[in-house]
Amino acid sequence: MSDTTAQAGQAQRREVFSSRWAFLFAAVGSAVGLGNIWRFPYVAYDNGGGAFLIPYLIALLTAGIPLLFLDYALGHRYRGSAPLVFRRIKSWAEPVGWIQVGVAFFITIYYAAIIGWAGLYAVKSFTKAWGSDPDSYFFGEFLQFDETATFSTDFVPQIALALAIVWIAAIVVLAIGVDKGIGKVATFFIPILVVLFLIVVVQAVLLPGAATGLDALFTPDWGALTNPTVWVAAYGQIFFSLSVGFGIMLTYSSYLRPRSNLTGTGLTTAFANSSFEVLAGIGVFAALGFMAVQQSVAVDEVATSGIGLAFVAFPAIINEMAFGPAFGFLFFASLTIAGFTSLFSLMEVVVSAIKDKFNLPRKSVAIGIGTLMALLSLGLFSTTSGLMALDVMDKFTNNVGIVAIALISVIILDWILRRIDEFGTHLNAVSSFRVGTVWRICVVNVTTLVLGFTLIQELITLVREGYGGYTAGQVALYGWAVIALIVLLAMALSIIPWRGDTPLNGPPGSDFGVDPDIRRTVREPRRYSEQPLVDAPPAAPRTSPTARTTHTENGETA
Amino acid sequence: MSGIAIMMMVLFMVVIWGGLVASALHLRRNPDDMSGIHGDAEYARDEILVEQELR
Repeated sequence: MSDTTAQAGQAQRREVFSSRWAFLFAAVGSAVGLGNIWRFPYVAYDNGGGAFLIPYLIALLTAGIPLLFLDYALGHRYRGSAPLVFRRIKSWAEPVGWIQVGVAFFITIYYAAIIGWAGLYAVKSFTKAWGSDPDSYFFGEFLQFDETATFSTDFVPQIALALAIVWIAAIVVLAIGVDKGIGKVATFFIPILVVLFLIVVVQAVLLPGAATGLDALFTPDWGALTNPTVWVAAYGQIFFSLSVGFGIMLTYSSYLRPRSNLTGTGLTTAFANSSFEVLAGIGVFAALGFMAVQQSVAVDEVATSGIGLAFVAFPAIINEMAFGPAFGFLFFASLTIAGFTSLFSLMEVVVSAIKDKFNLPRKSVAIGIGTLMALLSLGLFSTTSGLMALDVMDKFTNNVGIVAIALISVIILDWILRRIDEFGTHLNAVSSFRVGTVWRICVVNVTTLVLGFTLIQELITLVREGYGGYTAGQVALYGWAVIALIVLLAMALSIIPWRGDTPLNGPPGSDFGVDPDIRRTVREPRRYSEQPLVDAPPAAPRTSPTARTTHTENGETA
Repeated sequence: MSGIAIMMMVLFMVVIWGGLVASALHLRRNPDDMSGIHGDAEYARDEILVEQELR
């Protein structure tokens, strides 16, 4: 269908995923990333253990899933990349889309580096190349980390090589296209990831001491539920893990066919993402329990997250266990695959936006922008200052960039433009799981409160205390300057006119029977009870196309 | 493992993995072309909506 061309002089129709499976695997591949494996287990452990289930589930139902539905509705209804969708909703809203693209751009360039490391560690697992001291190996011999340098030009050859391979792979996937590239690769890799990771978890649970680790993870601390930071942590985990609010799911859903069960697919994506996290929690803490027992220390002394968990704690666990090399390979291969399927979803946000704006063919954009991103990524993250740049950029693009732009999007879409009912009605027009007032309250009120609180708290801490013990120059360059650059580029790109004859106002194709431009108008007064309720004939169901002309302004649909 | 830890682990698995199974079954029961208010209405078939996209 993607080959269908319109009338002479018209561009090709937007690409589509050929099946709901291709989209579902792509969306799950995007949602399941490094954060599921290395962030969730520690966040759960640190915020109430077993009791974390309650804030986590509430955050999933009141923020994660509602925002995911919103992203799906935006992309599906306005069928474009993030800037195009916001341009079509309201002409002055275009910069919101470009800020999302900018955030995705910078996350992509450092995210690739971690995938490169994980790929190298998968190979190194066979020989346990890190020796008896994984910590000094990782920071010393492997990264040759120089924490004092603000900008280093000393390249670390093997990291540069691994990074280049990751970039070539990502560019190839995106150049091939949405269905045959993204869809096929995700459909191939996600089942493999599940199988590999299941083997890792089973192997971890069978280790001596696994029960100690699981005991530490799941013993509930009910007192934690009264602590606001635990709730903020739950919302943060759901929010970052599902990758909502900065263009990824919006871009993917713009490639769905018109008749797609959006909410049904969204629920499955969200629960699949959380299911993987729970699985990772079990695997990671079983392994940490084994390590604690081996070293005769408490679990809290070995429990950690992020880079330290994957590249320091896990190599130490692999050193001590039977079949360590096989376990290590499977663990790092899982990390590589989970990261890679998220990487190309991030990069697609950028590729799709440039392709739409400048009316260029996918292949040229993927190769052109991909090469630019790859060079920037190699220059910043394969050098001896790479880890510092990565750490600072990660903090700022996530905790400031994503949170701020998600908040701004919600404020513009509903607080200012009052369009949430349009998106809700669109969802209900094509989807099995209906949304209504509760959904609107979750999207508009709950997320505004939670994201607003998180952002203010984060900004105060960053301004007062800096970040991670880095120098002011390092934080200014890779943190604040990156944010400023994203905003400036977003403004600049919004001024440049759209090339080609892309429709720029309203839904580009069908309005799905939902009018985007309903306004209350004043007409001649008349007796209210004498007005006909519905224009349609009495026997016709409410689904009649004429029904939309009546009470859509009230907006309540479910 | 303590009893309460085992209970919470099982509860976590039942709620989250159960949610996955339930939503997957829900999705399977509701094919794309029949879902939503438009249901299987003739005027909202996929091909017709696609045509509206081509100018």
